[in-house]
Amino acid sequence: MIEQPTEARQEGLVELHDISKAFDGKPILKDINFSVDKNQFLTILGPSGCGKTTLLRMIGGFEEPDSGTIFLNGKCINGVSPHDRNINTVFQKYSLFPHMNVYDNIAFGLKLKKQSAKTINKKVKDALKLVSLSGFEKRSIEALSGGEQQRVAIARALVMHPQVLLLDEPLSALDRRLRLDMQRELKEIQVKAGITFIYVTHDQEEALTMSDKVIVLNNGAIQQIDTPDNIYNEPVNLFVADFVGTNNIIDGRFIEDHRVSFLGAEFECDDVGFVKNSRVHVIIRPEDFILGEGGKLSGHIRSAAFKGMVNELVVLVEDTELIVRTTTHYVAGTDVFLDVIPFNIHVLTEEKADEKV
Amino acid sequence: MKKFDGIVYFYGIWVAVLVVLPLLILVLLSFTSGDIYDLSSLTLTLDNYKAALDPSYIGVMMHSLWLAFITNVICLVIGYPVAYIITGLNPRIRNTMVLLILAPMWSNFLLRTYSWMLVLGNNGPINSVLESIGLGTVQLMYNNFGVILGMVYNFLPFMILPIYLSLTRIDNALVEAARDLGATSKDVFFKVKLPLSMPGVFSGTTLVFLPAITTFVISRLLGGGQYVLIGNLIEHKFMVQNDWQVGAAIAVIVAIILLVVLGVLRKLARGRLELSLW
Repeated sequence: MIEQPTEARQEGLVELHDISKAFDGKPILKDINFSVDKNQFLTILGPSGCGKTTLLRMIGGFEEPDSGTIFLNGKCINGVSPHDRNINTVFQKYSLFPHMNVYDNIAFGLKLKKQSAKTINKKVKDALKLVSLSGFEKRSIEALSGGEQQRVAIARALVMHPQVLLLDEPLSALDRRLRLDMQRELKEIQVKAGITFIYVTHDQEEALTMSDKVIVLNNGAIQQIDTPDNIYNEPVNLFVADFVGTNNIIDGRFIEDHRVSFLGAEFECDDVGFVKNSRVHVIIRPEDFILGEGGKLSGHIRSAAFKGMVNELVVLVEDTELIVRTTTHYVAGTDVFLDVIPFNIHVLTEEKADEKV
Repeated sequence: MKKFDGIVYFYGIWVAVLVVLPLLILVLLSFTSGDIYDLSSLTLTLDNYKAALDPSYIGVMMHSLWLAFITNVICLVIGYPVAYIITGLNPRIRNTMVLLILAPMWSNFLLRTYSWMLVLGNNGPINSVLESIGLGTVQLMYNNFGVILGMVYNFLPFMILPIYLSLTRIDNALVEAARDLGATSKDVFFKVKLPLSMPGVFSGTTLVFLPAITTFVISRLLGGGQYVLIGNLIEHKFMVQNDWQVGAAIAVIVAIILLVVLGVLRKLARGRLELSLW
């Protein structure tokens, strides 16, 4: 355990300093550093096995880091057991107590705190109202749908008024429709309850929809910490570019500041500071192409799929397949011109892409 | 599906011939008098029940119930902690422990009980030691102690295993959830593990109580010739006195008592679950 001098500390509600963890000699987390502010909705996003659940379990007190320090309110909480941390968790499988009804599940923690029956009653009622389950007190857990169980689990944690609520892929067991509803509701609950959420998911859409801040994690290392907007539009490396949303990753050459060439054409871009004439990756979002009668790239539409709001086209430009989204209708087999404005071209170097992955 | 139906029919016939039919014959016997091998001579009567409710028989019944109850309590008091400890071991050791608990069952039940007679006897190892240190011989069998010890020894695995199973079935995530909500280890045990393992306690109690109340071998060997439990009484009626009808009546009364006891237990176990020990 590393003791951090107090004056070196910042303002975050939860802070992780140089956290590392290995299981059976296999490193799971490497030098994790980040902080979460009060009332922030932070999402830890990454593929399965990236270490995100382990990270959450450390904050919750169910695992101890091999090295590094976790701070809550500026106080080191390493070695503090889960029931002594003012942090609560919504578990992946909800983990509701099957031998208790909804009321007793939610009241569980309050009863342990020996609060008065009247206080408990009021708090449980308020919590049920917050998750829109008023009147469900006497229901048995088995009688609830997945979505309802989910809400009870959230209520059970929220009723403890934790400073931080940890959520471990809480929506992964729900069907898509319900998941979308719950995303919106979770965000509302977080704002209403005024509690810091740390949310773990592998679903980039969830991460982008709800979060104030997103941490992209891969192979136990943080790839990027940023706003959802920047994670989406300014990925710092190939992993983030690839993992967050569909992206076209095109080989290119950085001619000089503000000029890059790819697919046989030269483009203006916003990027500066790369080595002149070096090989780079050019990242372009499917929705950022401009299709029309003229443009720097000429392509052939391989396929066109109707996806509801948009058409998704696969366009072949010089042996490279590009995914293009447009609201205009196109037919497969026709030719089309493509162009991109400088702002939507995002340049990454091989080195920059590889150094962290 | 067809094959499955076949098995169901086979099982149905099996149960009908080997379980239901003997039971029906038993009930029929208990309500009749006359020559049991000549159906036409049988007449309906309640005399067998009047005979079965003789005060001395009721005394034997109460004594049997009491011993079975004591046996059950001892099995529970020993068995629950054992099951709980095994559940906490790492899986490899855990399986070995379960195997060890089952190991005595690989040898014959009678042989094991005879072995206890050697151990507990006046010339057995325990009394030899007691005598050598000057404490004299202690009567360890041919009394309640010997019978209860024999029953606890023989039936303990039937208490441990169901409790062990119900404890292993408790999802560790529930324990973590409880700890997350502020539960100490003691709270976790009393508010989560114990209530969720009550089905195991109920199964264990059923499996111990039933054989304990009907045993006649253990009471014969470790209780001695004069020691009579309800099992011995029924056996005596059938095999010695050849009075099948009164024997059947006693057996039916015992069966009814057992059904009532188990029904009450089941109800208690359920109620416990719902109240969840708050």
